[in-house]
Amino acid sequence: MHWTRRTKQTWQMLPTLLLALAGSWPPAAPAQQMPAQSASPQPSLAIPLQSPLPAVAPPATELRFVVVLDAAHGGEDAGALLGVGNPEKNFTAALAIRLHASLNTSGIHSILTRDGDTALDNTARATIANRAHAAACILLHATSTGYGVHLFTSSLPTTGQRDPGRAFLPWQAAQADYGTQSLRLESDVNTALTRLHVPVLLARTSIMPLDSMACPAVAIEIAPLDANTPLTDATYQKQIIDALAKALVSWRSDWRMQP
Amino acid sequence: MIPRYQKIILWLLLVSSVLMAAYLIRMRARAQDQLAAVPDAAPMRTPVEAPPVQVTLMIANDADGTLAPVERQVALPAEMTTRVRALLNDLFADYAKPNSPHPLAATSAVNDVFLLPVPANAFSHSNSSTDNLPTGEQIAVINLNGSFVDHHPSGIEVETLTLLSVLGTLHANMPQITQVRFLVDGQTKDTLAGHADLTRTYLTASGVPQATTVTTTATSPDGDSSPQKPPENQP
Repeated sequence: MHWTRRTKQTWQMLPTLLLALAGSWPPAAPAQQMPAQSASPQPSLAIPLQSPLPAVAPPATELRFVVVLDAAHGGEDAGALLGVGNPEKNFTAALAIRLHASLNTSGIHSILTRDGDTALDNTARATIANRAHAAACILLHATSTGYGVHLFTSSLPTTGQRDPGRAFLPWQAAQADYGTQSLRLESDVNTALTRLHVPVLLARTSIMPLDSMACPAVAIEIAPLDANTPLTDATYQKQIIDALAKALVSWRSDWRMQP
Repeated sequence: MIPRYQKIILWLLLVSSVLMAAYLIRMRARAQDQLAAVPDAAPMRTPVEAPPVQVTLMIANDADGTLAPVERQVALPAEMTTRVRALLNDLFADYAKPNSPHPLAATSAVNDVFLLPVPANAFSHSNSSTDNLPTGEQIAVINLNGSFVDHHPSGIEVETLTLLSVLGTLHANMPQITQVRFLVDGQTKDTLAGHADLTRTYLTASGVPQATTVTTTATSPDGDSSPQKPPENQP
Protein backbone atom coordinates (compact mmCIF):
# COMPACT_ATOMS: atom_id res chain seq x y z
CA MET A 1 0.00 0.00 0.00
CA HIS A 2 2.78 2.35 0.93
CA TRP A 3 4.50 1.72 -2.41
CA THR A 4 1.20 2.27 -4.26
CA ARG A 5 0.53 5.63 -2.54
CA ARG A 6 4.02 6.96 -3.44
CA THR A 7 3.66 5.81 -7.05
CA LYS A 8 0.32 7.57 -7.24
CA GLN A 9 1.82 10.80 -5.88
CA THR A 10 4.62 10.60 -8.42
CA TRP A 11 2.17 10.17 -11.27
CA GLN A 12 0.21 13.19 -9.98
CA MET A 13 3.37 15.32 -9.92
CA LEU A 14 4.51 14.26 -13.42
CA PRO A 15 2.50 16.85 -15.42
CA THR A 16 3.78 19.63 -13.20
CA LEU A 17 7.37 18.42 -13.63
CA LEU A 18 6.98 18.19 -17.40
CA LEU A 19 5.47 21.68 -17.57
CA ALA A 20 8.31 23.10 -15.54
CA LEU A 21 10.89 21.43 -17.77
CA ALA A 22 9.08 22.63 -20.89
CA GLY A 23 9.01 26.16 -19.47
CA SER A 24 12.75 26.24 -19.02
CA TRP A 25 13.44 25.14 -22.63
CA PRO A 26 14.90 26.78 -24.57
CA PRO A 27 17.08 28.31 -21.86
CA ALA A 28 16.75 32.09 -21.75
CA ALA A 29 19.13 34.71 -20.46
CA PRO A 30 19.15 34.98 -16.68
CA ALA A 31 17.71 38.47 -16.85
CA GLN A 32 14.63 37.03 -18.55
CA GLN A 33 14.49 33.92 -16.37
CA MET A 34 14.50 35.69 -13.07
CA PRO A 35 10.98 37.21 -13.22
CA ALA A 36 9.53 33.90 -14.49
CA GLN A 37 11.16 31.99 -11.66
CA SER A 38 9.88 34.36 -9.04
CA ALA A 39 6.36 34.07 -10.43
CA SER A 40 6.50 30.28 -10.69
CA PRO A 41 5.15 28.36 -7.73
CA GLN A 42 7.79 25.61 -8.18
CA PRO A 43 11.07 27.45 -8.60
CA SER A 44 13.14 24.48 -7.44
CA LEU A 45 11.89 22.35 -10.30
CA ALA A 46 13.06 24.74 -13.00
CA ILE A 47 16.48 23.15 -13.39
CA PRO A 48 18.74 25.27 -15.59
CA LEU A 49 19.79 23.11 -18.53
CA GLN A 50 22.65 25.44 -19.45
CA SER A 51 25.23 27.20 -17.33
CA PRO A 52 24.21 30.87 -16.94
CA LEU A 53 27.87 32.02 -17.04
CA PRO A 54 28.10 32.85 -20.77
CA ALA A 55 25.00 34.98 -20.62
CA VAL A 56 26.31 37.12 -17.72
CA ALA A 57 28.34 39.54 -19.85
CA PRO A 58 25.86 42.20 -20.89
CA PRO A 59 26.57 43.17 -24.48
CA ALA A 60 24.36 46.21 -24.16
CA THR A 61 26.92 48.13 -22.04
CA GLU A 62 29.70 47.49 -24.57
CA LEU A 63 27.66 49.04 -27.35
CA ARG A 64 26.69 52.10 -25.33
CA PHE A 65 28.34 55.25 -26.62
CA VAL A 66 29.93 56.90 -23.60
CA VAL A 67 32.50 59.67 -23.70
CA VAL A 68 34.82 60.26 -20.75
CA LEU A 69 35.97 63.85 -20.32
CA ASP A 70 39.08 64.13 -18.20
CA ALA A 71 39.86 67.65 -17.01
CA ALA A 72 43.58 67.54 -16.27
CA HIS A 73 45.10 68.42 -12.89
CA GLY A 74 43.03 69.58 -9.90
CA GLY A 75 43.47 70.08 -6.18
CA GLU A 76 47.09 70.69 -5.23
CA ASP A 77 48.16 70.03 -8.81
CA ALA A 78 47.46 73.34 -10.50
CA GLY A 79 49.13 72.45 -13.80
CA ALA A 80 50.57 75.19 -15.97
CA LEU A 81 50.02 78.83 -15.13
CA LEU A 82 48.09 80.30 -18.06
CA GLY A 83 48.09 83.84 -16.73
CA VAL A 84 47.87 85.71 -13.48
CA GLY A 85 45.47 83.78 -11.25
CA ASN A 86 44.49 81.40 -14.04
CA PRO A 87 45.86 77.93 -13.42
CA GLU A 88 45.40 75.15 -15.95
CA LYS A 89 43.22 73.11 -13.55
CA ASN A 90 40.49 75.79 -13.53
CA PHE A 91 40.52 76.22 -17.29
CA THR A 92 40.27 72.51 -18.03
CA ALA A 93 37.49 71.96 -15.47
CA ALA A 94 35.39 74.81 -16.91
CA LEU A 95 35.96 73.57 -20.44
CA ALA A 96 35.03 70.00 -19.52
CA ILE A 97 31.77 71.13 -17.90
CA ARG A 98 30.83 73.20 -20.95
CA LEU A 99 31.69 70.35 -23.31
CA HIS A 100 29.68 67.97 -21.12
CA ALA A 101 26.63 70.23 -21.49
CA SER A 102 27.17 70.57 -25.23
CA LEU A 103 27.38 66.80 -25.65
CA ASN A 104 24.21 66.33 -23.63
CA THR A 105 22.33 68.55 -26.06
CA SER A 106 23.69 66.41 -28.89
CA GLY A 107 22.40 63.28 -27.19
CA ILE A 108 25.81 61.96 -26.22
CA HIS A 109 26.25 60.55 -22.74
CA SER A 110 29.46 61.82 -21.19
CA ILE A 111 31.17 61.27 -17.86
CA LEU A 112 33.37 63.84 -16.13
CA THR A 113 36.31 62.56 -14.14
CA ARG A 114 36.01 65.68 -12.00
CA ASP A 115 33.60 68.60 -12.00
CA GLY A 116 35.27 70.67 -9.31
CA ASP A 117 38.67 71.48 -7.87
CA THR A 118 39.31 67.98 -6.60
CA ALA A 119 42.58 66.10 -6.57
CA LEU A 120 42.51 62.99 -8.70
CA ASP A 121 45.53 60.82 -9.44
CA ASN A 122 46.21 59.25 -12.80
CA THR A 123 45.19 55.78 -11.66
CA ALA A 124 41.76 57.02 -10.61
CA ARG A 125 41.27 58.82 -13.92
CA ALA A 126 42.16 55.74 -15.96
CA THR A 127 39.97 53.58 -13.72
CA ILE A 128 36.95 55.80 -14.36
CA ALA A 129 37.52 55.61 -18.11
CA ASN A 130 38.11 51.86 -18.17
CA ARG A 131 35.11 51.03 -15.99
CA ALA A 132 32.88 53.13 -18.22
CA HIS A 133 33.90 51.07 -21.30
CA ALA A 134 34.14 54.44 -22.99
CA ALA A 135 33.85 54.84 -26.72
CA ALA A 136 36.06 57.93 -26.54
CA CYS A 137 38.31 59.39 -23.86
CA ILE A 138 39.12 63.08 -24.17
CA LEU A 139 41.91 64.45 -21.95
CA LEU A 140 41.71 68.22 -21.71
CA HIS A 141 44.87 70.26 -21.11
CA ALA A 142 45.84 73.87 -21.69
CA THR A 143 49.09 75.73 -22.19
CA SER A 144 50.33 79.19 -22.91
CA THR A 145 53.07 77.79 -25.17
CA GLY A 146 52.57 77.57 -28.91
CA TYR A 147 49.42 78.28 -30.87
CA GLY A 148 46.19 76.52 -31.76
CA VAL A 149 45.20 73.09 -30.53
CA HIS A 150 47.70 70.30 -29.99
CA LEU A 151 46.33 66.78 -30.41
CA PHE A 152 48.28 63.94 -28.86
CA THR A 153 47.89 60.21 -29.09
CA SER A 154 49.98 57.71 -27.19
CA SER A 155 53.47 56.97 -28.44
CA LEU A 156 53.15 53.34 -27.38
CA PRO A 157 53.69 50.96 -30.29
CA THR A 158 50.31 50.01 -31.66
CA THR A 159 49.51 46.32 -31.41
CA GLY A 160 47.13 46.47 -34.36
CA GLN A 161 43.60 45.25 -33.97
CA ARG A 162 42.21 44.87 -30.50
CA ASP A 163 41.84 41.27 -29.43
CA PRO A 164 38.45 40.94 -27.71
CA GLY A 165 39.56 37.62 -26.23
CA ARG A 166 42.22 39.26 -24.10
CA ALA A 167 40.92 39.47 -20.57
CA PHE A 168 43.76 41.57 -19.20
CA LEU A 169 45.79 44.46 -20.51
CA PRO A 170 49.05 45.78 -19.04
CA TRP A 171 48.18 48.85 -17.00
CA GLN A 172 51.11 50.95 -18.21
CA ALA A 173 50.42 50.11 -21.86
CA ALA A 174 46.68 49.47 -22.13
CA GLN A 175 46.41 52.17 -24.78
CA ALA A 176 48.58 50.15 -27.18
CA ASP A 177 45.58 48.01 -28.14
CA TYR A 178 43.58 51.13 -29.02
CA GLY A 179 46.27 52.94 -31.01
CA THR A 180 44.54 52.66 -34.38
CA GLN A 181 41.16 53.75 -33.01
CA SER A 182 42.78 56.65 -31.17
CA LEU A 183 44.38 57.86 -34.40
CA ARG A 184 41.00 57.75 -36.13
CA LEU A 185 39.38 59.66 -33.29
CA GLU A 186 42.21 62.17 -33.49
CA SER A 187 41.57 62.48 -37.22
CA ASP A 188 37.88 63.29 -36.57
CA VAL A 189 38.83 65.98 -34.04
CA ASN A 190 41.43 67.35 -36.41
CA THR A 191 38.88 67.58 -39.23
CA ALA A 192 36.37 69.40 -37.05
CA LEU A 193 38.93 71.91 -35.78
CA THR A 194 40.41 72.51 -39.21
CA ARG A 195 36.97 73.30 -40.61
CA LEU A 196 36.71 76.05 -37.99
CA HIS A 197 40.12 77.40 -39.06
CA VAL A 198 41.83 76.48 -35.83
CA PRO A 199 45.49 75.53 -36.36
CA VAL A 200 46.15 72.00 -35.23
CA LEU A 201 49.33 70.19 -34.31
CA LEU A 202 49.31 66.40 -34.32
CA ALA A 203 51.88 64.55 -32.29
CA ARG A 204 52.46 61.53 -30.12
CA THR A 205 53.56 61.56 -26.55
CA SER A 206 53.87 59.47 -23.42
CA ILE A 207 51.75 60.89 -20.62
CA MET A 208 49.66 59.37 -17.90
CA PRO A 209 46.81 58.50 -17.66
CA LEU A 210 46.58 58.35 -21.47
CA ASP A 211 48.73 55.23 -21.72
CA SER A 212 46.59 53.38 -19.16
CA MET A 213 43.25 54.05 -20.83
CA ALA A 214 41.55 51.11 -22.53
CA CYS A 215 39.55 53.25 -24.94
CA PRO A 216 40.15 55.37 -28.02
CA ALA A 217 41.86 58.33 -26.36
CA VAL A 218 43.17 61.72 -27.42
CA ALA A 219 44.86 64.34 -25.26
CA ILE A 220 43.82 67.81 -26.36
CA GLU A 221 46.07 70.67 -25.33
CA ILE A 222 44.62 74.09 -26.04
CA ALA A 223 47.01 76.98 -26.65
CA PRO A 224 46.22 80.57 -27.60
CA LEU A 225 44.79 80.84 -31.11
CA ASP A 226 47.37 83.45 -32.10
CA ALA A 227 49.31 86.34 -30.60
CA ASN A 228 46.11 88.41 -30.32
CA THR A 229 43.65 85.72 -29.19
CA PRO A 230 44.35 84.39 -25.73
CA LEU A 231 42.90 81.27 -24.16
CA THR A 232 40.35 83.34 -22.29
CA ASP A 233 38.72 84.52 -25.52
CA ALA A 234 35.07 83.40 -25.33
CA THR A 235 34.66 83.03 -29.10
CA TYR A 236 37.75 80.86 -29.32
CA GLN A 237 36.57 78.65 -26.47
CA LYS A 238 33.16 78.24 -28.12
CA GLN A 239 34.84 77.31 -31.40
CA ILE A 240 36.76 74.56 -29.65
CA ILE A 241 33.73 73.21 -27.79
CA ASP A 242 31.65 73.20 -30.98
CA ALA A 243 34.42 71.45 -32.89
CA LEU A 244 34.87 68.80 -30.21
CA ALA A 245 31.11 68.17 -30.01
CA LYS A 246 30.92 67.80 -33.80
CA ALA A 247 33.91 65.49 -33.81
CA LEU A 248 32.33 63.25 -31.18
CA VAL A 249 29.03 63.18 -33.06
CA SER A 250 30.99 62.12 -36.12
CA TRP A 251 32.90 59.56 -34.06
CA ARG A 252 29.61 58.09 -32.80
CA SER A 253 28.84 56.95 -36.34
CA ASP A 254 32.43 55.87 -37.07
CA TRP A 255 33.01 54.14 -33.79
CA ARG A 256 30.94 50.99 -34.37
CA MET A 257 32.79 50.30 -37.60
CA GLN A 258 36.19 50.35 -35.92
CA PRO A 259 38.09 47.08 -35.53
CA MET B 1 147.38 72.11 27.04
CA ILE B 2 143.86 70.73 26.54
CA PRO B 3 142.63 68.75 29.43
CA ARG B 4 141.91 65.06 28.86
CA TYR B 5 138.21 65.27 29.72
CA GLN B 6 137.67 68.03 27.15
CA LYS B 7 139.28 65.88 24.47
CA ILE B 8 136.93 63.03 25.37
CA ILE B 9 133.89 65.32 25.20
CA LEU B 10 134.99 66.69 21.86
CA TRP B 11 135.38 63.23 20.41
CA LEU B 12 132.01 62.16 21.78
CA LEU B 13 130.30 65.19 20.21
CA LEU B 14 132.02 64.50 16.92
CA VAL B 15 130.97 60.86 16.91
CA SER B 16 127.39 61.72 17.89
CA SER B 17 127.22 64.31 15.11
CA VAL B 18 128.29 61.74 12.57
CA LEU B 19 125.78 59.25 13.90
CA MET B 20 122.95 61.82 13.78
CA ALA B 21 123.86 62.78 10.25
CA ALA B 22 123.77 59.15 9.20
CA TYR B 23 120.43 58.68 10.95
CA LEU B 24 118.96 61.73 9.19
CA ILE B 25 120.15 60.50 5.82
CA ARG B 26 118.59 57.12 6.51
CA MET B 27 115.25 58.66 7.59
CA ARG B 28 115.15 60.85 4.53
CA ALA B 29 115.67 57.88 2.26
CA ARG B 30 112.87 55.96 4.06
CA ALA B 31 110.44 58.90 3.72
CA GLN B 32 111.18 59.05 0.00
CA ASP B 33 110.46 55.36 -0.32
CA GLN B 34 107.11 55.77 1.49
CA LEU B 35 106.06 58.68 -0.73
CA ALA B 36 106.94 56.71 -3.83
CA ALA B 37 104.77 53.82 -2.63
CA VAL B 38 101.55 56.03 -2.49
CA PRO B 39 99.60 55.92 -5.85
CA ASP B 40 99.86 59.22 -7.60
CA ALA B 41 96.48 60.76 -8.37
CA ALA B 42 97.93 63.53 -10.38
CA PRO B 43 97.41 63.36 -14.15
CA MET B 44 100.21 61.47 -15.77
CA ARG B 45 99.84 63.30 -19.03
CA THR B 46 99.24 66.91 -19.67
CA PRO B 47 95.64 67.51 -20.81
CA VAL B 48 95.26 67.72 -24.53
CA GLU B 49 92.96 70.40 -25.88
CA ALA B 50 90.15 68.57 -27.72
CA PRO B 51 89.69 69.77 -31.25
CA PRO B 52 86.16 71.03 -32.05
CA VAL B 53 84.01 68.51 -33.84
CA GLN B 54 80.83 68.99 -35.80
CA VAL B 55 77.71 67.91 -33.92
CA THR B 56 74.03 68.01 -34.79
CA LEU B 57 71.68 69.51 -32.23
CA MET B 58 67.98 68.82 -32.66
CA ILE B 59 66.53 72.21 -31.78
CA ALA B 60 62.88 72.34 -30.75
CA ASN B 61 60.52 75.11 -31.72
CA ASP B 62 57.50 75.72 -29.50
CA ALA B 63 55.68 77.88 -32.04
CA ASP B 64 55.20 75.16 -34.63
CA GLY B 65 56.07 72.06 -32.61
CA THR B 66 58.97 70.98 -34.78
CA LEU B 67 62.50 69.72 -34.31
CA ALA B 68 65.14 71.06 -36.68
CA PRO B 69 68.74 69.84 -37.02
CA VAL B 70 71.36 72.53 -36.42
CA GLU B 71 75.07 71.93 -37.05
CA ARG B 72 77.54 73.22 -34.46
CA GLN B 73 81.29 73.04 -33.87
CA VAL B 74 81.80 71.90 -30.29
CA ALA B 75 84.88 70.69 -28.40
CA LEU B 76 83.93 67.42 -26.74
CA PRO B 77 85.97 65.25 -24.37
CA ALA B 78 87.03 61.81 -25.52
CA GLU B 79 85.53 59.85 -22.63
CA MET B 80 82.03 58.76 -23.60
CA THR B 81 79.96 59.66 -20.52
CA THR B 82 81.51 63.11 -20.19
CA ARG B 83 81.08 63.50 -23.93
CA VAL B 84 77.32 62.87 -23.69
CA ARG B 85 77.08 65.19 -20.70
CA ALA B 86 78.97 67.96 -22.48
CA LEU B 87 76.84 67.56 -25.61
CA LEU B 88 73.54 67.82 -23.69
CA ASN B 89 74.74 70.73 -21.58
CA ASP B 90 75.67 72.45 -24.82
CA LEU B 91 72.13 71.80 -26.09
CA PHE B 92 70.59 73.23 -22.91
CA ALA B 93 72.90 76.24 -23.08
CA ASP B 94 71.53 76.87 -26.55
CA TYR B 95 67.97 76.87 -25.18
CA ALA B 96 68.99 79.32 -22.43
CA LYS B 97 70.02 81.97 -24.94
CA PRO B 98 67.76 84.99 -25.41
CA ASN B 99 65.12 84.61 -28.14
CA SER B 100 65.39 80.83 -28.00
CA PRO B 101 62.54 79.08 -29.84
CA HIS B 102 62.25 76.71 -26.87
CA PRO B 103 63.31 78.70 -23.80
CA LEU B 104 64.69 76.81 -20.82
CA ALA B 105 66.26 78.09 -17.61
CA ALA B 106 69.96 78.90 -17.72
CA THR B 107 70.52 76.65 -14.72
CA SER B 108 69.29 73.56 -16.59
CA ALA B 109 72.04 70.98 -16.76
CA VAL B 110 72.89 67.32 -16.75
CA ASN B 111 74.58 66.22 -13.54
CA ASP B 112 75.73 62.78 -14.62
CA VAL B 113 75.43 60.28 -17.44
CA PHE B 114 75.75 56.54 -16.97
CA LEU B 115 76.07 54.16 -19.91
CA LEU B 116 75.05 50.52 -19.74
CA PRO B 117 75.10 47.83 -22.40
CA VAL B 118 71.73 46.73 -23.75
CA PRO B 119 71.29 42.94 -23.57
CA ALA B 120 70.38 41.03 -26.72
CA ASN B 121 66.79 40.70 -25.63
CA ALA B 122 66.17 43.23 -22.87
CA PHE B 123 62.47 42.48 -22.63
CA SER B 124 62.64 38.70 -22.81
CA HIS B 125 61.33 36.70 -19.87
CA SER B 126 63.22 33.57 -20.84
CA ASN B 127 66.42 32.52 -19.14
CA SER B 128 68.28 31.85 -22.34
CA SER B 129 72.00 32.55 -22.09
CA THR B 130 71.91 34.46 -25.38
CA ASP B 131 69.53 37.03 -23.91
CA ASN B 132 72.30 38.62 -21.88
CA LEU B 133 74.81 38.96 -24.69
CA PRO B 134 75.78 42.55 -25.40
CA THR B 135 74.53 43.97 -28.66
CA GLY B 136 76.85 46.94 -28.94
CA GLU B 137 73.93 49.20 -28.15
CA GLN B 138 73.86 51.26 -24.99
CA ILE B 139 71.26 52.64 -22.64
CA ALA B 140 72.03 56.07 -21.24
CA VAL B 141 70.79 57.00 -17.78
CA ILE B 142 70.70 60.79 -17.72
CA ASN B 143 70.64 62.43 -14.31
CA LEU B 144 69.16 65.90 -14.69
CA ASN B 145 69.60 68.55 -12.04
CA GLY B 146 66.61 69.64 -9.97
CA SER B 147 66.68 73.12 -11.39
CA PHE B 148 66.02 71.71 -14.85
CA VAL B 149 62.69 70.27 -13.70
CA ASP B 150 61.74 73.08 -11.31
CA HIS B 151 62.02 75.77 -13.97
CA HIS B 152 60.83 73.81 -16.99
CA PRO B 153 57.70 75.25 -18.67
CA SER B 154 54.61 73.10 -18.10
CA GLY B 155 52.67 71.64 -21.02
CA ILE B 156 52.42 68.46 -23.07
CA GLU B 157 53.92 69.98 -26.20
CA VAL B 158 56.79 71.83 -24.57
CA GLU B 159 57.77 68.90 -22.34
CA THR B 160 57.53 66.39 -25.16
CA LEU B 161 59.69 68.62 -27.35
CA THR B 162 62.38 68.79 -24.66
CA LEU B 163 62.53 65.01 -24.41
CA LEU B 164 62.49 64.56 -28.18
CA SER B 165 65.24 67.15 -28.53
CA VAL B 166 67.47 65.22 -26.12
CA LEU B 167 66.65 61.90 -27.78
CA GLY B 168 67.13 63.26 -31.29
CA THR B 169 70.46 64.89 -30.42
CA LEU B 170 71.77 61.65 -28.94
CA HIS B 171 70.51 59.66 -31.93
CA ALA B 172 72.22 62.03 -34.36
CA ASN B 173 75.61 62.07 -32.62
CA MET B 174 75.86 58.81 -30.65
CA PRO B 175 73.86 56.22 -32.59
CA GLN B 176 75.11 53.44 -30.35
CA ILE B 177 72.91 54.90 -27.57
CA THR B 178 69.53 53.48 -28.43
CA GLN B 179 67.63 53.87 -25.16
CA VAL B 180 67.43 56.59 -22.53
CA ARG B 181 66.12 56.77 -19.00
CA PHE B 182 65.87 59.95 -16.96
CA LEU B 183 66.58 60.67 -13.31
CA VAL B 184 66.28 63.95 -11.45
CA ASP B 185 68.88 64.55 -8.74
CA GLY B 186 69.50 60.81 -8.68
CA GLN B 187 65.85 59.91 -8.10
CA THR B 188 63.08 58.73 -10.41
CA LYS B 189 60.39 61.32 -11.05
CA ASP B 190 56.93 60.81 -12.51
CA THR B 191 56.82 63.72 -14.91
CA LEU B 192 59.08 66.40 -16.29
CA ALA B 193 56.83 69.33 -15.35
CA GLY B 194 53.44 67.75 -14.77
CA HIS B 195 52.90 66.06 -18.13
CA ALA B 196 55.62 64.09 -19.98
CA ASP B 197 56.27 60.70 -18.40
CA LEU B 198 59.79 60.37 -17.00
CA THR B 199 59.36 56.83 -15.70
CA ARG B 200 59.62 55.21 -19.12
CA THR B 201 62.59 54.03 -21.11
CA TYR B 202 62.66 56.06 -24.30
CA LEU B 203 64.04 55.01 -27.65
CA THR B 204 66.40 57.58 -29.13
CA ALA B 205 64.97 56.83 -32.57
CA SER B 206 61.77 58.56 -31.40
CA GLY B 207 63.62 61.87 -31.61
CA VAL B 208 63.86 61.66 -35.38
CA PRO B 209 62.08 64.80 -36.54
CA GLN B 210 60.04 63.54 -39.49
CA ALA B 211 58.15 61.08 -37.32
CA THR B 212 57.34 63.33 -34.40
CA THR B 213 54.97 66.06 -35.36
CA VAL B 214 52.76 66.95 -38.26
CA THR B 215 51.35 70.43 -38.35
CA THR B 216 48.10 71.05 -40.13
CA THR B 217 46.32 74.30 -40.64
CA ALA B 218 43.08 75.35 -42.21
CA THR B 219 43.54 75.30 -45.94
CA SER B 220 40.15 76.14 -47.35
CA PRO B 221 37.56 78.59 -46.10
CA ASP B 222 34.67 76.43 -47.29
CA GLY B 223 35.58 73.66 -44.92
CA ASP B 224 36.60 71.20 -47.62
CA SER B 225 40.15 70.95 -46.46
CA SER B 226 41.57 67.47 -46.27
CA PRO B 227 43.54 67.29 -43.09
CA GLN B 228 46.73 65.29 -43.06
CA LYS B 229 46.42 61.85 -41.64
CA PRO B 230 48.21 61.36 -38.39
CA PRO B 231 51.41 59.37 -38.62
CA GLU B 232 50.77 55.66 -38.48
CA ASN B 233 54.24 54.70 -37.37
CA GLN B 234 55.47 55.00 -33.89
CA PRO B 235 57.78 57.96 -33.28
